Formats: sequence, C-alpha cells, structure tokens
Amino acid sequence: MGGSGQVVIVGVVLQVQVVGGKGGVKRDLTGKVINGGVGLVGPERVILEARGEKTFIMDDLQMSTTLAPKVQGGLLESDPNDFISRMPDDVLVMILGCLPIKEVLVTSSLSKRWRFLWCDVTRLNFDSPQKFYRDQSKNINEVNAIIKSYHPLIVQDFRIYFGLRNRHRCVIHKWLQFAVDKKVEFLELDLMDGKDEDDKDYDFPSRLFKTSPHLSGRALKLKHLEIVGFDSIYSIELSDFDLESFTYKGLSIDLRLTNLPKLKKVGLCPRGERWPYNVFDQISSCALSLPALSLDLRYRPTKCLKLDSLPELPNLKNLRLVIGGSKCNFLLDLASILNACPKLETFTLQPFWTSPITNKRKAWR
Amino acid sequence: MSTSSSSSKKIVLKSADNETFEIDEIVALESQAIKNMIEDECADNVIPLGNIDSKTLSKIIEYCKKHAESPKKDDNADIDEKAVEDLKSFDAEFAKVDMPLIQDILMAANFLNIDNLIGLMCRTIADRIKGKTPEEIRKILNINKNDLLSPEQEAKAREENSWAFD
Repeated sequence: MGGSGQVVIVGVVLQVQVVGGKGGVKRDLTGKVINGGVGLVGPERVILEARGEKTFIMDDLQMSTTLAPKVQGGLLESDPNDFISRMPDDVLVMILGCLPIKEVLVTSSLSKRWRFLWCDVTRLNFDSPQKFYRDQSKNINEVNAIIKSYHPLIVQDFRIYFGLRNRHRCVIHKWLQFAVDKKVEFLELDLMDGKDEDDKDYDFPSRLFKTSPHLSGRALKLKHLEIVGFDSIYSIELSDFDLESFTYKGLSIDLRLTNLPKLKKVGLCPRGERWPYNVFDQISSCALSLPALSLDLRYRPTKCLKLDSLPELPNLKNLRLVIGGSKCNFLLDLASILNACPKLETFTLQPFWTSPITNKRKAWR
Repeated sequence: MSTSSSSSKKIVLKSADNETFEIDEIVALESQAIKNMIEDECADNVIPLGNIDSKTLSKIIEYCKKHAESPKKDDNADIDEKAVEDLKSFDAEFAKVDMPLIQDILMAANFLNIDNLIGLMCRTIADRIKGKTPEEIRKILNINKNDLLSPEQEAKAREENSWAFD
C-alpha cells in the first residue's frame, strides 16, 4: 500500500453513490476502494470497483460530495426531519422526473445529497413557461445545452412543450436523433398550434428513421407513439418492434402496422380527408391480434366508417367509438361492428352530435 | 364499481404505536411487500409495522382501500373513464396534506412497496418545489444544514448548469 499511496479496504460494505465521469452511472456498491482513502484529502481520482464488474472513476469533488457525508467521520449528524437523506436514490430521482428539466438542474445546488442526482433522471421534460415563439431561441439553447452536457445511458421520456416552426427543423431533427439514440420509450413533441405567417408547421423528419415515417427494427425501444396532425405525412409504416400503443390524429394517411407483437392499443382520429378513405383499412394489418381500439370519428363518420369492409377483430376486447354527425339512425349500423368482435368486453360509445337540439327533436319523433 | 373480494380474509396491521388495523386481504395486497409475505406464507395473523405510526398507516389504508375497490388498470383495456376520473380526484384530495405527513407516507409507501402511492407522493413533492428557488426548496424539504455544499462547490454546480439558474 504505502509507496503508491494505495489504501485498499476490503470487506467494508459501502453504500456509495458513484457518479460516472459524465454522469449517468450511479450504483450502490459493495466493494473496495483502490488508490485512495475514503474521505481522505489528497487523491485526485478514486477508482471504485463494483463487485468486480465495472470500474468507475471519480474526481475529487464528486468524491467529497458523495463519499464524505456518509463515510467520513462516521455518521452524518442526522436531522430527524430531513427525510430526504433517508430516502433511496430512486425515489428522489422519481421526484426529479416529475419536474421540468430546468428545475431538475437547479436541484444540483441544493445539497451534497442532491448534487448529482439529476444525472440519473431519464425523463426529460422540456416544458418552458415561455412557450411562445418570441422566446424560442432561448428555449432552443436550453435544450441544446442539456443534450450537450447530459449523457444518460437511456432516456425514458423525451418531451418538448413549446412553440417551434419548420425553420427549426434542423435542430429538432438533432433532438429527435438524440432521443432515438438514447432508446427513448416515450416521445412527445408538442410544438404548439399557432399561426405564423412566415413559416409553416414543423415537418416530421421523414428521414430521421432512414425511410419515410416508417419505423422498424428490433433496436427501436419506442413503446408509445403519438403523431398529431402533420400535413406532410402521407403514410406511416411501423413494423418489427415492441410498440405498445399507437395514436394518430390528423389527415387521413396510409397506415401500415405489421409485426408489432406487443401492440395493445391503437387510437385513430382522422381529421379531414385526402382520398377515399376507410378507417378500417388502416388497421387491417393488425386487426387479428389487436385487443383495444379507439376510433374518434367526430368528423364525417359516414365517410370514413365503411362498415361493409369491416375486418375481423377476433381478439378485440375493448372498443371505444366517438361518433359525430347529425343522424341518429346511424347508430343502428354499428351493430355490425359488434358482430365482428366476438370477444368484446367493453364497448364505449360517445356521441358527438354537431347539433344536439335538432337531433333530440328528431329522436323524439 | 366495487370489486367484491372472493374471500373475506382479514389481515391485521399493527403500527409502531401499537394500534391495530383490521383490513380485507385484498386491500393489503395493494402493498407488494405484504403481498410477498402472504404469498411466501410468512405473514402471521398480525403484521407488525414497527416504523409506521398509526396516523400514517391509517392514511395508507385509506389509499389502498380506494385503489383496491377501483377497477384495475388492465393494459389491454380502456377502462371506465369515470372510474379513472374518480380515482384521480381521490388522489388529488388525498395529497392535500402537510409536508411532514407527505414525507411519512412516502417513506412508508416505499417500505411497503406500493408503487402508485410512491408515484403520487413524488408528484406531490415535485409540485410543491416546482418554480421555487434553491433556498426555498431547502426549507420545504428540510434539508440538513450539515449537508449543504461549500460555497465553492455550490458555485461549481451553478456554473455547470448556469442557464438553469437565470
């Protein structure tokens, strides 16, 4: 030990938070400390071996902020009211996960306990209080700053909630690429609806996933996908990954859902139409196995609900229909839907009458 | 929409201050920890919870009762929206308690492994510190003064994420 200044402590159970060089790796370890004494002044870097599997390197500050309060000088003078110090990391990280990312970062200055917890947050909510376009360069810089300095292994959720236009497409593409690279499970872009005479809505990056909005491949970890109203999309093809739910709201499109074994729920809300369009054609590719379907046909239901081309839905247990329109007798036709679903357990019908008063009168007659 | 329990088996929980609570087994099963105990058959008639006081425990039982009665969220199903709304408003009411109790509930929920309740308490705490300055957050969370960063460390933390502090 002596010469090299190494102190090897074996058999001490350390509850140590180890912060990887660039954040993101933190474990409770049972292990030994090499090349440095615990809590002593001096070592520039400490290497911790976690059950012989991985080696983490810490710098001095990280060392003093993570090791010191727990190990140095024995017990921390405990304040019985300070419950935070008694909670496990994952619970505190869960609290952080409920905050917008900017507020998460502020917690890095709260105390030693909180100093590096933000590194473990895998839910990135970019929810700016200034949502309007005039603040957009500030908002963009913030997201860029995070992506640059933040290196989690995975990003569970990636949410953007503020106004952006198509001229920002390059930077948004970059963010989406980041999210996809980090195996994002939940991706949400809410770029606000707004009129901007100089520019149009953001075009979803058809090239992001190599081919037009066709997502496929086992490597993709996306579990929930919701696409809302992009005029630029004419077709969506999703195949060969573990998608669990898919929702589409927007102009009628050519939708192909194939080989998605974990798909549990599909929601469609077509608005407007481009060509002769039947909502059932869109789900025919996954109809055999689909357990839950939600169709929001508040606009022109008679035009997109072609009951004569109804696919078999042998495993459908849950059906939700929002039907708009002005004819009450239309409901009778829905009986044929039920015939196509032998296993149906719950059927929710939500009328969305455009003119309730006249319809009521007609119904009375 | 109450689910009638198939068996009316009762479980007795005993708080740190020796108060006993008799509840339906189905309510107790909301706690993964108790569920494991029952499945492993290592739960006696009375389960002592030496680190949860009666005030906290009765809140937790209130929560578990309500959630046990509500239709379970099935991944395959769009469950009754009314029931979801009802549960949501129950949760919102439930969380309207002072910070020390929230912390006690969170600790107990973590100990008993009740996922939904842990989530609810985390969201509640997050809501209370949202938009607050570090100094205010320290006060709200009662952060131990001995655990504060040194001025240099705090400066470094701020510098690393400087844009977040403006």
